[in-house]
Amino acid sequence: MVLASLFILSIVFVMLNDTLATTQRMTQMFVIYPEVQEAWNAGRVWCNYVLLTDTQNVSESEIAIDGNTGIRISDIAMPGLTHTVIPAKSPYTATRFDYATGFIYASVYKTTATGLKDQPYIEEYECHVNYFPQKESKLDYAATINFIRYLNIDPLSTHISIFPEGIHFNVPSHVNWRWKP
Amino acid sequence: MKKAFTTIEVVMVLLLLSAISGLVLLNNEAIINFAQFRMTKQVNMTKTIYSVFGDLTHLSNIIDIQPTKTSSTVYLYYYNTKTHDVTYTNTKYITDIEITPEFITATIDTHLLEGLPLCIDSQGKAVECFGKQTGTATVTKLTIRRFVSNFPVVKSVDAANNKIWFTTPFNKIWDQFSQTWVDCTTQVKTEATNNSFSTPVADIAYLRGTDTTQIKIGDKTITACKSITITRPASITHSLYIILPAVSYETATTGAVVVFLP
Repeated sequence: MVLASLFILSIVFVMLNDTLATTQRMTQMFVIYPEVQEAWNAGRVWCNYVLLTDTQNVSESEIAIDGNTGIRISDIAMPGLTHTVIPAKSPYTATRFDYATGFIYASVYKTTATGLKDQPYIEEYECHVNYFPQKESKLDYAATINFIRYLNIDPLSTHISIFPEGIHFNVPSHVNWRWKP
Repeated sequence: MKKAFTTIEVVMVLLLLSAISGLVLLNNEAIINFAQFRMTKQVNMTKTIYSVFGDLTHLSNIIDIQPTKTSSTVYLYYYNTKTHDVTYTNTKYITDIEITPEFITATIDTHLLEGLPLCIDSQGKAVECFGKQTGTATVTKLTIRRFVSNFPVVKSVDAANNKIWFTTPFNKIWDQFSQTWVDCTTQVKTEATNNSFSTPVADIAYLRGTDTTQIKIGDKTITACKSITITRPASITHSLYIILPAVSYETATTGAVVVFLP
């Protein structure tokens, strides 16, 4: 009986050990770039909500933003900003998620891409997710998620569909894996 | 009192336990590898989940890009978390690459990567990642642009050539008149109307998927379309609106929308 119990325990041990190893390997793969996953999740959830519920802010005056990060110039002062103007009465919505260490600044607005400029029922949006690791520090990473919005209008209502198109991600060099030939 | 086991039985059990212990110790190379069984089963059973997270897996494992735009020697280098080796895949999955002094932007076709393990061999067969490569990284910063969505959404409208381009390929198109999904290369009818509210004209336009591509998933090959070509009705000579029916690729479906052709 004792030997039989030992035998079964050894099998259980082997299975548990393998399960742990498998989990660790899978987790390891996803944590190499945790920023990508974080940016993707934050941007997809927040920007998708804003576009789907059509709760965008429309300003009566022009808004100056940084073209690379989508940050409103008046919100955060940073060196090296490129000025892009969101025209008056165009949608621009921004928010800030505070964390224990730093914050995420996200914004969404209509792109000036030309591929669909004549389409009255298809719209392109850019959703920017920027992470500042500490309150006063400089930008750590910036991601842009492109969204395409379909508007289907019938006499009773407007149906909105949102499709994420992809992510454009920019990490500083120290985040990348080092190349070791 | 009668003995529970004979000496031979005890020796046999000890031998058996020794053999099992040996397998446990040599688990990485052993015949019995429970992890491998479970991995295979898990991948087969949750292909949808795997395809979603597979995107991130591939993205996570890209450690560098050694680009040469004028030839086909663009490689994506992977870090193999299992063997801690560096390996690579070739450019067949890259649809576009833009090189600037500080950043590299690579566009990778998600469909072609879907469901694959981390690496492929020189014949394009999906294999485990093995083999070290030598080389020198030429970039200090890396920008990765890639699709993490499978949705075939309208990317641009080329009115001059009566063509609608999509962000990712699709293999099925919804036929409104037969109320069925058909292959993307099958011609379907749709409704069209002119751009005049004072003298409206409604007619039928014909659509067919074009610019086909072959997508390999395991041993299965799917014909997918990257664009739709429109045959305008003769009754509408100038600009018109058409209903672009729903298109889909596996579980990713985009609904119908009205498209304007100037």
